[in-house]
This record gives sequence, structure tokens and C-alpha cells, in this order.
Amino acid sequence: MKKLILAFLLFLNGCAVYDAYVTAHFDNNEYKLINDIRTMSNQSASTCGKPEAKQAVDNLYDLSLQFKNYSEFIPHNEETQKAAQQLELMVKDFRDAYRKPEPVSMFYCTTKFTTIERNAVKIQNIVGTKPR
Amino acid sequence: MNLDEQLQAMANSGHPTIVEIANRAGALKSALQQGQCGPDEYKSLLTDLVREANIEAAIEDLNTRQLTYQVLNGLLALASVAG
Repeated sequence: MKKLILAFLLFLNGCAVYDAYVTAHFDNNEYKLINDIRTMSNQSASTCGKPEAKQAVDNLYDLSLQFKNYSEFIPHNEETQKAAQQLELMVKDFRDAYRKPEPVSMFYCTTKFTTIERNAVKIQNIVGTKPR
Repeated sequence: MNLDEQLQAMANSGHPTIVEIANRAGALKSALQQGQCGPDEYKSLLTDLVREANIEAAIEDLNTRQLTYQVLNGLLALASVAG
């Protein structure tokens, strides 16, 4: 019985060591970038329908591209990399909409900012709960 | 099945993330029908729902191996309408 308990404890400890080894650790810069994206998308929703919206979306795109690029070559960081790619595509669509001659609808603008913020919160949760 | 039926199957799946995506897709269709957004904007917002499903899959809240064939078909249909 003692051997069984010892083997179980070694197994649990081994899992923790393995997990710590294969998972990227918490990164302050990564966390700051995603927090900035979340905060900016929250604050910028009020610019919809105003000329400032275009600049707000450009700034948001710069941040999302920085976030994607920053996370790209961090080892064992696949889940953040995949999420960052999707988020960057979301914001890129939004930026492209403001570069077209057609006006952007209020519904599209507010829904986009809300969607980006909601997904930034999800990603912030991934980044924030990485092992220290 | 058409998109509405596939969205209904997703809404009936009981998976919180899938139900939420189906509901959001339904709301987008209503917005399009009411003229609140244009067809290109509708497609862009639908694409975001597919991207959101990818983000959920990346963080493993949405385990695609556990999803039913109907739900996966619904997600594919969304992606196909979104272009």
C-alpha cells in the first residue's frame, strides 16, 4: 500500500513538473498587451458614428498585431498564438471596413468593439492563468 | 438542412459556447433583415463567430471532439456563409 501511495505521489509530482515544463510561463508584456486591447476596445465603443472611430480602430489594430507578433515565438505558447491570430484577423477586418469608401454602420461598429472586447477577456484569462 | 435549421441544432446542443454562438448568429441575421448592417458587414460579423469558436477551441473550453456531427456541420455552415 505504501508503495502504491509513493508511486501515486511521484506520478502527481511528475505531472506538475511536466506541466510546468511544457507550458509557457506568465509573461508581463503579453498580459499588458492583451489588457490594453481589452481596455481600448471597451473605451473606443463610444467613438462609433464619430470621425474618431477610424483612428481608434487603427490603434486597436496596431496593438492586436503587436500581441500576435509578440506571442509568436514564445516556446510552448501555442494556445495563445492561435487565439492571438484569430483576434488579429477580427481587428484587421474592422480596420479594412474603415478603409472602404462605404460608411460603416453603427451596428457593425458597436458589435465589432463588443466582440473584440469579449474575446480579449477570454484570451486575457489564458494569459493570466499561466504558471508563475 | 438550411442555415436556420443548423443554427437550431446548435442552439439545442446544450453546449454553452455553441448555444451562445447560435444565438449571436440569429441576432446578426435579424440585424441584416432589419437593415441595421449591410451584407458584407453581416459576413464579417459571422466570420468573427467562427473565429470566436476557434479561440474557444484554442483554450479547450470548446472541445471539438465532444461536439456532435450536427453541431460541427452548423459551425461549418456558418463558416461557409461567412465566406
